[in-house]
Amino acid sequence: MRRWLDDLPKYADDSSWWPKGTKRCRPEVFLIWLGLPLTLLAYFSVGAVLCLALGLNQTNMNDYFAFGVWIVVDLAVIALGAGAFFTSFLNYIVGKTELKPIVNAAVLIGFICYVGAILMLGIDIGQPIRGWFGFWHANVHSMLTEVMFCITTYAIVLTIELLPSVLDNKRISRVPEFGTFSHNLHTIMIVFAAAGTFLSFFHQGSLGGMFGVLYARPFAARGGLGIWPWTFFLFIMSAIAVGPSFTTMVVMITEKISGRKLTKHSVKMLMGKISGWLLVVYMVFKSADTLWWAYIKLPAAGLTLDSMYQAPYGFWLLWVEIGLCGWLPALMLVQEKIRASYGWMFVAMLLACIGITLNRFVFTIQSLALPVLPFEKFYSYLPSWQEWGIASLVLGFGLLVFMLAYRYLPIFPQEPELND
Amino acid sequence: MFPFAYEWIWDIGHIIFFGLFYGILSVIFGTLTLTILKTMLDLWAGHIHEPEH
Repeated sequence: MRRWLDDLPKYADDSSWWPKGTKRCRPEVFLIWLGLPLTLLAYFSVGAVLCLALGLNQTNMNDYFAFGVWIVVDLAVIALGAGAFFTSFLNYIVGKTELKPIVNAAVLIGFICYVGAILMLGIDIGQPIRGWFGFWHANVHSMLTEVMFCITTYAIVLTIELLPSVLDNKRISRVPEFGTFSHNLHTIMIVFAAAGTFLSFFHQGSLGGMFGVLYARPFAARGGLGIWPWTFFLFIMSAIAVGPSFTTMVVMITEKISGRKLTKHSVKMLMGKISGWLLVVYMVFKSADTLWWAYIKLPAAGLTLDSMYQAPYGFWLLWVEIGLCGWLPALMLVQEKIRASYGWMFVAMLLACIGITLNRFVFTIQSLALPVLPFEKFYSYLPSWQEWGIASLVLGFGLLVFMLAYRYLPIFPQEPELND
Repeated sequence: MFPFAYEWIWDIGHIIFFGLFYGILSVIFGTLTLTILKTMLDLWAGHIHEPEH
């Protein structure tokens, strides 16, 4: 036993699995770090067992709030994970190869966001073992059917896109079959990038479209183009605007925690520039949509803007979403001086990500909080601790996968040369 | 849902929805299958891709 303990550092040495030319923390330190995601996953497990065993009465959702924090988190992470499809689209299809050093990270983050969201929705649907009913008994008139088809299919695409990074692990790639398969996958990746772009375009849009067609919910309902309400296009624009920001932000946080440079600042600046200009375009359309909704759509229905914003969901939400976390980061990110500053660029990207999360929050919660019948009043909603537990799955799962991937997979090809 | 399921209706909604769904699944799994086949052919021919590290 003593001898085994003495030899433990030798057995625990995993440095032969680290990406070439990189350094990682000692295994015991890594194990301590793993405690954080594992704690979150334990919290999730308690909430999940309670919800599955006792039912959705464990949540604070009710007849008014059929959607709660799970849908808010789901919509937010799907938007923030859009960096995967958009960066892949720009790299493989448009030919913006300057983004190559960050594509792997974007795909990994997208994979975490999508798989995390799907796992969380498994609890939301009440009976996960009947999840396949959505495919077999599909309601082809529902935007959500399209969302379900596209999200699950895109999760498969992301898994395939992530596969070369796994197979390129220093030890795994020594197996000739894996190394050759990975090489061949790299050469055909443009097909998966195109499939991912197609799927993402439609499910990001349909998530927004779902709100736009809620004709009985004046906060969300919009006019549109053909069968697509304006929210369909706004959700696509907002997702492709903040996706690159979120990817870059995660890379920057990883750099600060690990103390290592992972990508050149010029790559991050390019991501910031793309995000900034797309955010400007989105904000122009979002502002126009809000003005049209406030001054034409609502009065035409006999409603006022004041009636849409009541405590605790007051006007502050509108100003924070469109002003502080919308126009401000957009105008910051289009300036080269701001992008050149590591700190300011991070602040701008953080504001953009908060803004889009708020957007998904108001569309989900505020839409339902408004009274739509004469005897109803303005309601508010706070998730139960069980709901927070299940929502923490995305963070716990994400941290676990990202930490393992950062330690063992060649996610950041520029890391060796930047840390010589 | 497949066209032989009792819920299936030959209307534009089902054709578009499931046409695109099965179309994209075919592209994804078809490409994956071709990549696997090419890998097998490469390995049989001795074209092994050596790792860079």
